[in-house]
Amino acid sequence: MSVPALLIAATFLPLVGALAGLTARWWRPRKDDRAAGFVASACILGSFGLALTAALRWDGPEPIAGSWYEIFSLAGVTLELGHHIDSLTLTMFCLVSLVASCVCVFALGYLSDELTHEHRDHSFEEELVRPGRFHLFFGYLCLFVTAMLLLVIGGNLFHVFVGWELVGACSYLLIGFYYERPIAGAAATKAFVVNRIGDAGFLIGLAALLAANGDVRFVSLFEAAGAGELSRTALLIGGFGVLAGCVGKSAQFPLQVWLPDAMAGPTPVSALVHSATMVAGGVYLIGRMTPALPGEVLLTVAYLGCATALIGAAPALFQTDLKGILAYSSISQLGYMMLALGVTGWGAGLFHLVTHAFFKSLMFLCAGSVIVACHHAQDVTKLGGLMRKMPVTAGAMLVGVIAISGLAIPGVTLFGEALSFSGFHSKDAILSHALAFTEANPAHAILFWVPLVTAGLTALYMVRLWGLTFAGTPGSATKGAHESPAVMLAPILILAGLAAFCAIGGDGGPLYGFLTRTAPEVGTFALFESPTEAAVDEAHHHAEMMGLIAAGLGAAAGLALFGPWRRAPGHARAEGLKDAAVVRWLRSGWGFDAVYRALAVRPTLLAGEVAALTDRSALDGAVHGTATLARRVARFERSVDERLVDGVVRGVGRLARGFGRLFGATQSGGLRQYVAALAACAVGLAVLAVVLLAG
Amino acid sequence: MTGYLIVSAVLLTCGVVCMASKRNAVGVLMGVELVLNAASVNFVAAAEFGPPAVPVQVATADAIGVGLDGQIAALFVIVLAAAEAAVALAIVLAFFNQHGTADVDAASELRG
Repeated sequence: MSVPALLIAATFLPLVGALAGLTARWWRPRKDDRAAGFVASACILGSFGLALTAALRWDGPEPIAGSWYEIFSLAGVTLELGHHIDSLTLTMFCLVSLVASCVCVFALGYLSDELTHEHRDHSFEEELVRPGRFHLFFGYLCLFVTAMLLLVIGGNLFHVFVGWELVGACSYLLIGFYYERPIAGAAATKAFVVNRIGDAGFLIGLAALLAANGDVRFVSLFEAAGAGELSRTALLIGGFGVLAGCVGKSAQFPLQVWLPDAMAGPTPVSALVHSATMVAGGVYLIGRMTPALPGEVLLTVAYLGCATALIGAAPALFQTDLKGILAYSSISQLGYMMLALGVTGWGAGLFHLVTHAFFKSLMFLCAGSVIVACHHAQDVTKLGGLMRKMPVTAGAMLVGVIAISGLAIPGVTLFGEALSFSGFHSKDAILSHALAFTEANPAHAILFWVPLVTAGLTALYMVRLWGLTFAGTPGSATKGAHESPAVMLAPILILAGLAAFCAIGGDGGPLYGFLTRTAPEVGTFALFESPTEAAVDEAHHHAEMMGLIAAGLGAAAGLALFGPWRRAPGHARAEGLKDAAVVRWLRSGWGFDAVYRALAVRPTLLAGEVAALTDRSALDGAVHGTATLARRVARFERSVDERLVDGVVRGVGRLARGFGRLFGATQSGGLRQYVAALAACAVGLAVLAVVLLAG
Repeated sequence: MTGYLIVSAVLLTCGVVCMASKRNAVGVLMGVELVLNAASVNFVAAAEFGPPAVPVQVATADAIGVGLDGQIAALFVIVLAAAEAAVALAIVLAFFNQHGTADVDAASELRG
């Protein structure tokens, strides 16, 4: 099979799992049956196998573009479905299917409490009992994987938009999986609506590029943009439009508010959809579109990413919810990726996408393991001391923490490699590009310092997370906690291995090398000066050192505050900060929700109420008035009908009946009367004849 | 001829009065016979004393008139009367079986 055929097969294979999961209630009516989960896992694993084969078979840096189906071609505008396969596509394929495989297998264990007719949901005051939805979950999960792969394989912007909306819909279904909980329904709606705001921009950008180029295939767009055939306006509208979509999908400032709420979904969903793959879709698309993006857009991407990195990191410091910390961390890390893409560090940004997918899904799965062990307690102040009860989970989580913090031991090498995990390499690459960029453009110095500070904050909140959960004295919610079963630990260990070693060799290693085989050339822009490769290399040492110092300081602070030698119960230090107004403000995510509620949600609701009032008073009045008028007219018509028309008809009838009565009297039935009448008539006729004839 | 016509008129009047006044169906039938006989008398009288019959112009050469049209008609009337009597008596019998009487006033189903 050729590479495109392999990838197309990989895209649609999970659809089989989706069908199996969605129809399982008919072919597997028993609730304690894992069949759909196994089918789903097999399909996604198969998908990974196909993607890996394709990646190994793919040769050469030339992208493979092709068309599947032309939807229409009209007036110089063509819309079609097709593929565009290069090293980015292949990397994303392997990444998505691999993480999805791990999450799917993990979910077999995580969702085992759904394998019953009477699932008890403890998050309600009065315990809610409902039938389990084990099969349905795997159906949705496979549907999501297909949608995500469809997005990634897309050879034109329209195709990507189709996948884009499909993953949005799947995300909605998965966040709202526990739809009986009001919080889950609200979170699903919020995610959907906030994403629609960004997607409106995407649609405008798509339309602008379609109008300008008549064809939104990436190859054609890049060619036209490179040759300067597209007008500046079209490129700006298209670029900012697509960026708006990416800001929504990748939870960038100012549309980041939906991601923390999205944690209302099951934890495997958070691991796959809301940290590793779907939210990285925006970063992927910016990376894909880089050759067609003008400097203004790239600089906006850099500043938005920079802002998002900090905006995400600060609330993570004060979250008490296990998944909340990870959610804000995801926002922050996505900001890093965007920042890298903005400062022309294409490879660095997407490199971080890959490493982040591994270590963040690892940490979410570890969190899921903890959540199951502690009976769905997620409050870190009630956890603690789980290190001894769950050593494997704790160790894997520690790998994730070290990876995301970018910690390493400089100078020490093992098998010719610096002693470090994947996050160190990717974050190092990002900081190097940021530093080289700010050196070339001193006006944008903030683009280096903010991520540097954020790197320290990252280490701090991650050590805090680990310390509060696994170290110290056991918390109130950890009674009876024990290590998770093998079906959950195996994916965690695989991801731990990947999180640790996937980026081996850094930007000289195999992953970075493969990823950047089709990297777009760094363009020249009027707005800023792109750093040269040599400058980036030069900046590398400084950036590495500074990043390491920042991370080391953060980790040291974290260890001091929440380290394993802490004897006080887990919540003591967290409690002390609880009431400060600034902490509450930061914990709520900088109060964005309140601002949006006041600026957007309330006015919308108000407008709705005004519209409803107008409807009721003015429109309803008009409708009622018309109805009354119609009734009056009808009544008048009825009276005309009854008096005039009916009168005539009745009169005719009465007349006929009168005649009938009159002549009916002669029909006496008596034979003798008839004879007498006949005789009288005969006599009369005779007399008449005599008189007339005589005359 | 006047005498014949007077007899005929008397017979007719008697017949009609008989038909109109008799309640018994058989009586009514008798009246009918009288009326028919009055007509027969008229035919015969008119044939005997009326103007000579003009032979009917017919297509065939051998068809000739014999001047007995009135008498023939009277014979037809007799035959007709016999047939009528038979049918009418059958109706009367059936009526009697149905109603247990031969009173024609009881036969008023056709009223209205």
